[in-house]
Amino acid sequence: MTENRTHSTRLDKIGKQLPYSVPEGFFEQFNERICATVAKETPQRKMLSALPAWRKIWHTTASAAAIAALVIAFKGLAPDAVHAENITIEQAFNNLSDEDQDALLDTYRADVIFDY
Amino acid sequence: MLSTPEGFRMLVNNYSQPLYWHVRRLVVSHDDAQDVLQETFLKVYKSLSTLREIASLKAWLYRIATNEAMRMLGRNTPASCSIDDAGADLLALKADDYTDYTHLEAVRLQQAINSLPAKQRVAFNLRYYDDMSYEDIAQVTDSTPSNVKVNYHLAKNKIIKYLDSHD
Repeated sequence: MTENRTHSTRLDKIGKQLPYSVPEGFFEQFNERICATVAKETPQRKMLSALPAWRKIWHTTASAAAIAALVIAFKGLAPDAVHAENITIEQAFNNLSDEDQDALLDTYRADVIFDY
Repeated sequence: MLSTPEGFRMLVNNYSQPLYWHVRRLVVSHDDAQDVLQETFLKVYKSLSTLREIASLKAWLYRIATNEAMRMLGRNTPASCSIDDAGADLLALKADDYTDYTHLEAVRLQQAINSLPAKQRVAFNLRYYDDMSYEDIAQVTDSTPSNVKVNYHLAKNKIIKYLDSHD
């Protein structure tokens, strides 16, 4: 018991002080820099997330319609094509990989036809 | 939402300082701590959009920071040594612009902590400096609260012995 009290007293005297310091303004500059870095990495996602919900739905639907049209046209040209069953635009879009979905959204986001 | 730019900024503003000091206590050098902190927040940002439920945001952040600090220490350790063996030699407080040797007791305490095996060092730092619960420390170190308690008390006793022998 006495030993524990002595140990605690010894550490209590030192407390939490550290022999380390940082350059002046380091944390403010670091915070700005890291936020700017991540903002640069994902600019298009940021812009898309800023759109109102109806614009996002419109872009998604239009992109999916274009994909569905391409899929149907391709299957029509294939010699032994088995015609796809009716698929909805949303299903066609959802069947794409995440990367393809992102690429389509990025492409059609700035499309003049859809932008009004 | 933390995954928005505003949410991420709030996270950075609230946690950059405590995470920096946690990392600095492990890697010692300011330049290394800065690099580790940057890597930590970049990983945090990339993980936020896929993050589901977590018991403790703080523990999750500290876990990423601790792993990055250990990765940095591993890069700075010769291949023939483990991070634990490198101990006081590797982490000797080298004189640089951001280390103050006038606080002798504080310097000795850091040297004592740096001589500990990694798990004891992390457990002690998180409990002593960050007042973290054993449960949260267990999440940070992927351990159990009872193991953390043991590591903390072992660390504390070794630190006291080190300080007594270097008086």
